[in-house]
Amino acid sequence: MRIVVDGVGASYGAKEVLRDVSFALNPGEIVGLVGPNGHGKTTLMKRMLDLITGTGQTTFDGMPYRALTRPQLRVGSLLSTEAFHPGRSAMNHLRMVAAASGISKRSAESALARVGLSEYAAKSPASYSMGMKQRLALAAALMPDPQVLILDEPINGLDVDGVHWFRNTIRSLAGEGRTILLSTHILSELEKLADRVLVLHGGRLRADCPMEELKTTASGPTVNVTVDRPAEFAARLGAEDGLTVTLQGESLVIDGMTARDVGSLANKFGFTLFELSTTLRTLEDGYNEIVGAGDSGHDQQGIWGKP
Amino acid sequence: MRDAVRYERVRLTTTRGFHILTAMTILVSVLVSWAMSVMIANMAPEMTAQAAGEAATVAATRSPLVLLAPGLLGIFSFGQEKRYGTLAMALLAIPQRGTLFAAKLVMTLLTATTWTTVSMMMSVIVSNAVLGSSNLFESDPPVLIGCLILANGWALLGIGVGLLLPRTGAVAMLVAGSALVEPLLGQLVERTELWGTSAAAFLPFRAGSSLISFADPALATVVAETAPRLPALTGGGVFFLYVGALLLAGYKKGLGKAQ
Repeated sequence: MRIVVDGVGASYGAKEVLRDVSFALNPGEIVGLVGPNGHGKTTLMKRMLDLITGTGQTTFDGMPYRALTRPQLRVGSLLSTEAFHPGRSAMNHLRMVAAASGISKRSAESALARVGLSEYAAKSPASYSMGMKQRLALAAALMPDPQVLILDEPINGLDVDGVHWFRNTIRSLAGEGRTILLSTHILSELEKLADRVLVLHGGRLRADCPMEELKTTASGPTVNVTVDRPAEFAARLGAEDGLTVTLQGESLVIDGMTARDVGSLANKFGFTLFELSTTLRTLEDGYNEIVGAGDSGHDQQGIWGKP
Repeated sequence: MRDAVRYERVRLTTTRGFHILTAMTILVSVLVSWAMSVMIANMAPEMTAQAAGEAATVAATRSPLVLLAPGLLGIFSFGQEKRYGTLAMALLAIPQRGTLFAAKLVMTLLTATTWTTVSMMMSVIVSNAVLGSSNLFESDPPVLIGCLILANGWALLGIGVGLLLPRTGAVAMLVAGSALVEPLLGQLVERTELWGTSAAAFLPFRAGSSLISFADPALATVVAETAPRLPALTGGGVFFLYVGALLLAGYKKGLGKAQ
């Protein structure tokens, strides 16, 4: 299923939280949505699913969400892990979701088994740990076997086994041609999972690119080198074009040259090498470059003043 | 629509609270009916068959939970979903707000009708046993039918209030509004006339109660319901006008905005 988000915007009262967000999601893609807290990730998902009103529109194979027949059979979503009645068992919670989608209550049993909660089916989710609640919400999203999954912070609260299980499940679902959009703050996990990344900042889409591209957005890997006369070697390197050299104690951090070339130069100028290594850029580096390092977004009241 | 009704049925019947409220409604109605019947039997041991039938009607329709329970059910239809965040989940499955709203109306009215019918039937059986009346419908059948209609009206009222206010506020408004605020307001406007009737008769709960008022003024005096009331049909119409306005406002405020 192809999803097209076209010029989507949303406001809460006078505060505009999303502005003119456009992108497309293709079958089989795992797309990560990242951005600081309060910068519109959940709002974007709610807007895509017609839970809130606003400008622009999202279409699922050409149709808006509310025009889909039994939409949950086509689009599964996880927006909250706390949406359950404490007086209702997990099994009945899933039976309720199944009833709304016109699927059998047996699906509820198999969905609970799929996420490893069969043993706790008769218990209220109120007694669950955070990870178990997360699994229950995932079970509800996966139960109707949808072609698209829209998941808001699905990894939060999962233990190591849970994260591993989630990663494998998502990969296998994408392998079957399903489209997956997921938001998360755990960038290292997203790095292992997503094919593409959307960076949402200040309610605007600041980047939409393949994972590898984001990791190499502005600069390549950096080289760390420790030599016997670092200041002198830094001066020698400074003469080379397009290099950025930073002296950090006894070591140099070099941007714009490969480790092999740095080693060759050290040898050519007669320096003794003690250490030579390459630091690859991570998704976090790329993300920080786009949104600004250390920008948690909490000081972004006047976000539209930013470029 | 079928999915929405099925969702609402599963939602309603899978909480402990629903079953407790069902049991309480029937049990309290039967107990109130029994107590009233015993009291009436002690006050008037020699009773004609018709008087006994009327007394049984009174006993079957005056339990506080006969009306309050459908009201609470109405409040909880959206109130619980808003309180626990499952409304967004429901709207994801049934994005047409009108369909979800209609499904909730249908299930709430069906449940209210079932509760009221069962409560009245059980109460009638108990009252007949105590009072010795044999055919209740010889007395005042419009009162029983009126009670059924009024209970459904309270259920709709609950839905409207539940959409407009948070759950606790909605319950407080329904209980305090009917038992405290409106009687006080009624006393204030008792002497003001509107179309030849006391303005108090046009207040929502009092207008609704005309549906369960007895045509026989003597019996109305016995059950201490002497305050001016509109005729049953007019009163019912006025009550449902309030209900309709509240439902409309609730739909616009509670379902029209972002979840």
